[in-house]
Order: sequence, then structure tokens, then C-alpha cells
Amino acid sequence: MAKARPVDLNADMTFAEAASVTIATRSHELFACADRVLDTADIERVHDMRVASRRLRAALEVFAPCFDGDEHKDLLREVKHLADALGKRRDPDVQIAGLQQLRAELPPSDHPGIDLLVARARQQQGEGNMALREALEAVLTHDLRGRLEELARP
Amino acid sequence: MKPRKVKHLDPAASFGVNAARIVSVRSQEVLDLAEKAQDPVKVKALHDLRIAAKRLRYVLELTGPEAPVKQLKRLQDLLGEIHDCDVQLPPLRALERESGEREAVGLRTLAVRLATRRAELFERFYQDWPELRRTITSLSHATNPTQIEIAS
Repeated sequence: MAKARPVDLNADMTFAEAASVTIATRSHELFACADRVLDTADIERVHDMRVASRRLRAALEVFAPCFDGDEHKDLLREVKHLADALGKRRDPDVQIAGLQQLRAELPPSDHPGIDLLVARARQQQGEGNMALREALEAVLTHDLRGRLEELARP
Repeated sequence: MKPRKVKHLDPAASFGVNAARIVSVRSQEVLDLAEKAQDPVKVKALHDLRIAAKRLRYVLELTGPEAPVKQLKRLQDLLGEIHDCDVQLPPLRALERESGEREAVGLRTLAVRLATRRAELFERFYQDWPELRRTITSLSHATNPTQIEIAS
């Protein structure tokens, strides 16, 4: 899992200043993970972006009192939507990897049942990838990155 | 699960003062939920505790100290795996009943493995919790910024 980037904070800065620095860092962290995230051959990319989306969401919640109500609420909702889409792809990724590992440990008599579950998870992975593609398109259409940068501007 | 509201946050006041208030409330939230989660059948309480632990961890990643961040990550992973078992077992058992015997054999094996794993994970949570409770209890008393570790 990607470790959180350190945020340049100190106890004496104002809460509003800390909000700006944190949202800027966490937002940058999110978009740095976006490259080739739809590639089902490398499942760690989705994981890293999902974790980054959760950290950004957490930061938006922690620093909520520092921001304008409506725009902050919209951004929080959009980040949550992206995090949910990343989760829809990630969950079957993990399930498939776990089932394949388990299959190798089990006798052949158990394989048909495991194969049935893998086939179902593959279908969910495909559906998750479509949902993620749509969510990533919405990120571009609604300029999520630009609006987060604007929110983080002191 | 909605987070508890943190009162008296002030954008113009120092980050240290505000952060101490947030850490205190989020820590108390974890402690309260953990009390309810000490029973293995309390599926929702365990799930809520995982969410609360995640919220506290993400705040502590900003404020420090680092040691509880690692402890909370371990707790979150443990509770996450318990949650995965809780989510997977009911549909797995339903599928086993609907399937022919050829597939049902492997599905049954997996269901038994998940149930066993779930029991082991809960036991580990139950054993590990008292130590983490001590750490989080001290964080819950962090009503001033000197009790957390933001550089100044």
C-alpha cells in the first residue's frame, strides 16, 4: 500500500492554512495514482488510488469547517463517488487473487466450486472497470482536480 | 456510519488546538465502539469500529504520533478481513445450496475455511485490543496540542 505523503504542517499554523496544505498534498497524491488504473493486469494501481481517495476524503471531512459549504459538499460527494467506483473494481481484484491462491492449495474435487466463484468475480471485475471508467470520465468532465486546487488555494 | 461532530473547531485558531480536539473525539469514538464490538456476533459494531479506526488513523497520519498509526492500521486490516468474511459467507452458503454437487463440494470447503478464519481473526482482535485501548485512551485525553506530535 502507498504510504501517505508527508504534509508540511506545524502546530502553530492556522487550521485554515493546514487545510490548504493538506488538501493540496492529498489531491496531488490522488491524481499521481491515476495512470493506467483501468489495467486489470496490475491490480495494485487501483488499490493505491483507492487509498489515496480515502485519504483525500478524510482530509475533506477533517477540514470541513475551513471551506465554503456548497462547493466543499460537492467535492466531498464527488471524491466519495470516485472512491466507491475504485472499491467496485478493487473488491473483485482481491477476491480473484485470493481464490486463485486457494485453488492451488485444494484438491481437484474442490476446483469446480472455486472456478464458479472466480468466473463470477471476473464478471464483477468487468462491471467494476466500466463503473470506474465512467467515474474517471466524470472526474475530467467536472474538472475535479482543478476545483480541488482552487479549494486548496490559500 | 456518520462521524461524531467535533465541536468548537475554528479555522482561525492554531492547527495544534484544533487537531487535539479532533484526535480526542475520534479516539473516544473508537473506544466507545470497541466496547460494543467485543462480541463476535456483533457484525455491525465490528464494521463501525473499523470505520472509526480508519478515521482516527488518517487524522494521526497528519498529526502524529506514528506508533498508534501502525497499531490502528493493524486493527483496520484485522477488522477488514473479518468484514470480508461476514460479507462473503451468506451468499456463499446460498450459492452452495443452489449449486449441483460438483460445485457444492468446493463451495462448502471455502465456507468452512472462511468461518474458521473469521473465528481466528476475532480471537486475535479480542486478545490485541487491551493494549491498543491503553494507547487510544491516552490519545482521547489529548485536549491540548502538546499531547500530539505536530512539529512546531
